[in-house]
Parts: sequence; structure tokens; C-alpha cells
Amino acid sequence: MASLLLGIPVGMFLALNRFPGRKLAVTLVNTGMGLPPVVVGLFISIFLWRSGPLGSLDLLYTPAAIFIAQVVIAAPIVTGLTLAAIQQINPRFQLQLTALGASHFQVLVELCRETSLPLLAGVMAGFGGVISEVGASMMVGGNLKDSTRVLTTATVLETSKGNFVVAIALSVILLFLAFAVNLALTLIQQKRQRSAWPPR
Amino acid sequence: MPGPLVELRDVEVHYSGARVLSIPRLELQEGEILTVLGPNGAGKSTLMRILALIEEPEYGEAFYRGAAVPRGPARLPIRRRFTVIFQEPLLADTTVLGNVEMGLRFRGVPRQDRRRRVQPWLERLGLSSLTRRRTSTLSGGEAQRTSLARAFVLEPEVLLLDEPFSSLDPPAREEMLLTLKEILESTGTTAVLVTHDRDEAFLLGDRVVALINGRVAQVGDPEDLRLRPASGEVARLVGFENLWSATALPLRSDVSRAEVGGRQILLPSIRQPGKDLLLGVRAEEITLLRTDAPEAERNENENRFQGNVTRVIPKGPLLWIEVDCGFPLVGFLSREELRKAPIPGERIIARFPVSCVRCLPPPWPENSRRDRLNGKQE
Repeated sequence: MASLLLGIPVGMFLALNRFPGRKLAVTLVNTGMGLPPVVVGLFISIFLWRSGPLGSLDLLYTPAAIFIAQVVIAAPIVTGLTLAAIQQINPRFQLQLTALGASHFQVLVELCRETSLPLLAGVMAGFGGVISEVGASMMVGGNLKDSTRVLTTATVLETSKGNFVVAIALSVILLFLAFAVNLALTLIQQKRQRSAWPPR
Repeated sequence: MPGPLVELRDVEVHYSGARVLSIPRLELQEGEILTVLGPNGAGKSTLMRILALIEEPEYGEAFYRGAAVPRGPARLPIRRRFTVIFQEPLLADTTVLGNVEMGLRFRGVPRQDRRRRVQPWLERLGLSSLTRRRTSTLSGGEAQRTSLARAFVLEPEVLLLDEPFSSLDPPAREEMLLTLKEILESTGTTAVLVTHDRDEAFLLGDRVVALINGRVAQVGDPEDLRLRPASGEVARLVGFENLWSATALPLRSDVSRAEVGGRQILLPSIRQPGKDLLLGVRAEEITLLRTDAPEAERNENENRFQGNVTRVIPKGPLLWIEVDCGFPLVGFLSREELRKAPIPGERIIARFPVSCVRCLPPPWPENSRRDRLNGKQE
């Protein structure tokens, strides 16, 4: 969720504005889309270590640390896909919206509407990245029981202990979760595509 | 007289260091249709965006009813009295209805009122049966009509059109032009039409602005520009078929003459001998005669040349005839005028009154037909 709040606006900003350093920013985002979670985990751990720059916050091995790691992993994916979606719109469309009397905010809303299908794809991809991720959660969360043990890290643990039954059960739950969320998103996506707008 | 509705003062725009627009002053009067005619890259679209208040000029200011238009979000209320129709329809990916009511939605008009206001325009533009259609399934003409309805629903005080019909095929385009003219006349909307098509500019414009290289080269009513261009550049823009580089010759019996391609042309006014000139004559002012035609009395006030026909091109009901008189000359003939169209190589006589020869002041067009054709024989 947080990565959506961060990724969509940043993606729109990058797509709609021209400024020095923009190419570098876009390149960073695109690199970020393929960021290995383990690397993210390592860097966030370094930052959050007691002796690290943010060590005073005492966040390492807490759910908050996992949250930060997940945002860092998913935000570039959402940003990159938003960027791609907005950029494929004719730039003059934005001008046309302005010319029809849209305020700056209304232009942004309308652009999101226009790209709602690819934007949903971005959401799905971001979700997929987060739910399947294990390395970073393990490293910054520590896989502590009742606190930072998430489905993926628990699965890894149970498998390594030889508890395949538990591991399989956890996997099924994970699969089901992924399926449910994506089903919901797909339904929204396909419904929008079919129905005439405004609905009635 | 009331002040102008919109006025630009000292507007300048630069893109990556190059000046693309420089308008010391331009006025738009309430109720008029102003057309901006210019070649590609003249800065027409930039000018239109500034007049539409959707782009803020780097330097200078726009005035609306005498008051400077504020910058930033504060200009929204004024901006909403304007709207623009672009070259491509630029419709949102929803239904025709969703698009037509879009501007009203931006203005916070409630749904019921929107429906009521949209209806007459859907009917007027023949879209009633298409309201629920998605825009991706529309033809080019239908899409452009949707775009037109979307603009007119807003009842704008100023409507700006940026080459609105150049993507349509000729019949659809003609039909749209007439529809537009009729709507503009019946609603009394102030409009600015930006185009590179001089027929469009002259048909719709009460006043025409000739925009060349980001500068206003001339402003006037269509006849003014068509017959009395202020410079060689404007003459080329408004379609002077004959533009000749010439050199003024010494006076002989009080008549000024100039040399063009080894021949002498009589001029209507005195020019300093030795001076380089650019002469313009409209093809419609040139009379072409077969050499065996009954000889009219020689007139002192006319230029008369014999030459060989080099090309004959049909243009609607007329024939466009290119003649080599030592310099290239273009004239029209109606198909009925000669029983048989002239063929290349045939001798032909060209006559035109001295008063039709215009000495066009600089700036002269670069790389114009004049240069290409004169270059050929040098």
C-alpha cells in the first residue's frame, strides 16, 4: 500500500516533468525494478544496525524494518510501471485536459483514469514482488517468532527443519493470498475494460 | 470602442536558446474570428497555447479584458472561459458522452445539468446515436465531431482551434469547416484558428495574422493579405504564384522598368536603378492567349511576353500553365477558354497590367520557388 502511495506519484512526476537529472532518476528506478531483495535487505540492515546511521531508531528486527524493506522493493516496480503507463499517453492529451479547464489535480486524476489498466498491472507486479520476497525480510526482520516471522520466512524455516507438512500448509496459504488479491485486482481491471463509462 | 478581449504584450518564447516566438503586441477583439496563417515551425501552436492561457509565456504578459492574467493556479477561473480543439481529437478512452461532458465535470456541474447541456450539442453534431459508443470505435470524422461537441458544450468565450481538420480527408474536412463556420456565426463565439492552409484561413477569418519565424509579419483582413502582402515572405505565404527577382533599370520616358531573366518588365512606381527587387504577380491577373488569337491593341499600361509552355497541370476547373518567358511565369486558363488545352512547347502570349506588378519589400522568402526557378536558368 505504502509503495503505491509513493510509487504512483513519483512515477507520474517522472513521466510528466522534465528536469536535469531526470534520465538518471529514471535509470535508477529501472534498476530498482530488478533489485535483488537480498541486496535491499543487506543495505537496510547496515542502515539500521545499532552502529548504522539510523541505528538510534532501534528498528532492526522489528515489523517496521520489514515494512521499510518491502517499500524499497515494491516502490521502484510501481514507479517504473506508472512511468511507462503515463508516458505512453500522447503528451498532447494532457494539454487537451488543461484546455478543457481541468485544474492541475484534475489532470492527474484523469491521466490515472486513462491508464488505469496498466496502473493495475503495476499494482499486481508490486504485490507479487512483496509477497514472494524472503531474503530481505529474513535479514532485516530476523525471522523472530510472533514478531517478524512472515509467511515466506516461516516456510523457509519449516522446510529447513524438515517440517514439510507445515511448510506446504504455509505455502498453500501464501498461494491462496496471492491468488485472492490478484483475482480481486483482475476483476477490477477486466470490468473496467468491458463496461461502458459512465456505468448505467 | 471597447478594448480587446485578449491582448498579448511583449511576449517572447525561447526553446533551447532559440527564439521561437516574439510578439510585441497582438489583440483579439470580442466576436471576431482571427486566423493565424503560417508555415510549419512558425510558432503557430506556441502562440495558440499562450492565447489559450494553457502556457505561460517566458517574457511578456497576456491580458484578458484589460487586466493582466495571473500566473499559476490563479488563472484557472479565466482559463475556464477558453477552450481548445486540437489537430487530433485527443479523446479520453471512455464513451462519446463521457468525453463531451468532461469539461463540465471539471467545472463541477452536477450530473443532471450536464446531461441537459450536452444533449443539444450531441444532436447538432449528429452524435445522438453514438453517445454510448466507446471512442476507440469511432471514425476520424466522428471523433473530431465529438471533440467539437466537447468544446462547444462549455460555451467558451474564446474558442481556439489548432489545425483542427488537417487529419481529415477532404470531404469530411469541408463538411467540418462549414459546420464550424455556421456554429461560430450562430453563437457569436470569439475564435482563433491556427492553420497552414490559406484557403481555410481566408474562408473563416475576419482578420488574418501572417506568422513567419515567430514574428507577426502582417495583420489584416483576408483581401488585404491576399492582394496587398506587406513583404515577399507574406506574398509567398498567401500564395503568390509569380515571384521574380529583378533589378531596377534607368527610367525611360518616365516609365520605371526592371530586368528579369533578360526581359524587361514595366513597373507601376519608380525604383532606384540598380536596386534588387522582388516582383510579385498573382496568376489570376495574367491573361494567356494563343499566338493566333486576334491581336488586341497594344496597351502601354500592360506587360506582354511571349514564351513556351513548359507544363500544364489541371487544378479543379482551371488549368495551371507554366510558361518560360526567359523567366518562369504561371497563369491560369479555364478549360473553356481555349478549345484545346495548350501542350508543352507551344508558344503562348502572357499579358498583365502594369498595376498588377507589386514590388515586394523585404524580408524576402529564403529558398522560395523564385530561387529554385531562377537558379535553374542561371
